[in-house]
Amino acid sequence: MIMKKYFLVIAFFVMSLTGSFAGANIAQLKQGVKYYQQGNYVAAAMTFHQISNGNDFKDDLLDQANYYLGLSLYNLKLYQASSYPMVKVIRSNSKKYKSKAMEKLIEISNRLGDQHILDYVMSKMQISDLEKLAVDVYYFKLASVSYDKGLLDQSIGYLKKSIEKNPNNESSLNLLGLVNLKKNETQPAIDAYQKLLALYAKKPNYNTKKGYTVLNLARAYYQAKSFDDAAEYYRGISKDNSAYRESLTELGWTYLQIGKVKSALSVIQTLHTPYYENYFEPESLVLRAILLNYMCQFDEAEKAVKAFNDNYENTLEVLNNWSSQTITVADAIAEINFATEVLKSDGPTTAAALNTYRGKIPFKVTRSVLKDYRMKGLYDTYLLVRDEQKSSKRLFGGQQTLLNPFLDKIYAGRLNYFKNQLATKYNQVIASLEKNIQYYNQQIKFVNYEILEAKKSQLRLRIANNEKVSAAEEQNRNFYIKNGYRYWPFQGEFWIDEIGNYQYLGENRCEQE
Amino acid sequence: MNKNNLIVSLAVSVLVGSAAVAQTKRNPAQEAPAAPAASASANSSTAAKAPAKKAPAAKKNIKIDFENETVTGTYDVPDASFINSRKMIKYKELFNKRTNFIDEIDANKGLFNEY
Repeated sequence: MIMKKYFLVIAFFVMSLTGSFAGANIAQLKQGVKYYQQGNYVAAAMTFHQISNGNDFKDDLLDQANYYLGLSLYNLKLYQASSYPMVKVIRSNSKKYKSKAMEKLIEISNRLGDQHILDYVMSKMQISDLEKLAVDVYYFKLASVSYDKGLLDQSIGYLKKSIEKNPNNESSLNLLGLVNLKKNETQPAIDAYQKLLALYAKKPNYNTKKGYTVLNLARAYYQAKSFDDAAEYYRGISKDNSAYRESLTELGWTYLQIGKVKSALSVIQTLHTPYYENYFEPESLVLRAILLNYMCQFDEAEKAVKAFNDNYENTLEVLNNWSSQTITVADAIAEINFATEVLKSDGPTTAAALNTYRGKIPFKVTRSVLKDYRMKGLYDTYLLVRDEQKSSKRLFGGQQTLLNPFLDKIYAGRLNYFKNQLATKYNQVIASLEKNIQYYNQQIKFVNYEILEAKKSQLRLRIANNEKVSAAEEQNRNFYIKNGYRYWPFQGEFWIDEIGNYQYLGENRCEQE
Repeated sequence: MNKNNLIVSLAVSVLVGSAAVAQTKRNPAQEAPAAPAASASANSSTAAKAPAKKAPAAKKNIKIDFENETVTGTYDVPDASFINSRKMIKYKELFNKRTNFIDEIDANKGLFNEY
């Protein structure tokens, strides 16, 4: 009897103790929510982190704390850190918060440009989640996987489902265009790009996506051999759009296809001004040599061949050396950082940064590497996460809280991961650029051969025509001596408003039979 | 058929298909009586019933030179605009001309992957 009473007292004591603990913890949770609602995300994050670290909470309350911790960090723009508590919520299979956490993770993936986060969300999706979340995104992912495997018809099937669910899904429309071009079905590709372009109708012309959509449309017309339409779209890309530079060489090819050799040379000339001197452009020099050869401007054509050799033979050697050595992660990251410094500089500081450039790989090559699709997303995410790490130190560095080492660990781990990935991709892209230069190196040798052949046949014709002097040679050649048949209505420097205004004034010097 | 005419026929089949007709660079006055062979054969069924209609006068002035791998002249079909603008082209060249920009589109597809 005494024993029974004793047990009852103990049970009562334990229950009241648990109740008071639970009461205190719920009060703490409420306090955190209050901070969050007030917009005091730093205090909210610290409170929720403290709760999520303890073991006194039931699972659903713990999920709530983790979810709000993620939201608080998200609102502090610490997107990478905010993904961790969200993943915890998804793993716990919380009925109330799982779907919300997934939606937030998709947004985080978007903010960071990190496809791996999106892939993770997709892998955790159930059919029941699909109605709540973006079904079109799900089908797009399936289409991307099929595309990567080379299953083009299957990819088109998924893309159509994605577009059916959301006709404004930009990535699906863009991929649909690309897959059709791979199948050499140009009209469906053109249709897809036209629909995509309609989505950007109200966007300004400098909008990057709009620019690249116009560019892709022009490319589709080019592949369809509708060169006049292609030229029209290429010309529609505004100079302040980042797609503009890429459009120039392609417009040059288009003009060549419709026989407008002088127009093609005028376009290519823009790329060979000091404004674009620090860009990797082997193809444009090859095209320039081809065009000049067609104009029978052999001296100029040979200059273009020489310019290619001067610029790219040496580069090829540097890349060969790089590939033959054992490159550490630190070596590759150093190259990336050197180029990043120049890219972040502005005006006169750019010139100074270029003069003191310490990279082993030329700046223009690393710049192209960073723009390559294998690198670009990763590199942009790396820069964002690096900035987030600095913000995290600024926000929480002075706080005596467990959240601080938690964030430090996340950022150190992620940056280490990104560095390793970047180094691997950097070397892969360098290897492909090496092949690219080798290809154009072979092409320029072929062009050189054609120049010699054309020179020979022209000489034969001139002899047959009794050494007739062409009208072009009788012209005053002062301007040729000054600037090699270039004309532009400006003096001195090469500013962005001037580019694209160069005119090629050389004449066709081919002898006729 | 003399050597020049043979060259012309080959040039036509290389450039504009069987329906096209080409002639060497000759005096237009001499060209008139010589009815284009391909057109005549295409219209042979109607030719028996009615007087053969003159084919529209196409601008024919093409010569192919197999030794130097060149095509010289002008022609009035849309596909030949390049030849017309150049007057003379090499029909066989070692270097490659671009046929598509698929790799470039593929390189930038990540730009659109935002939700």
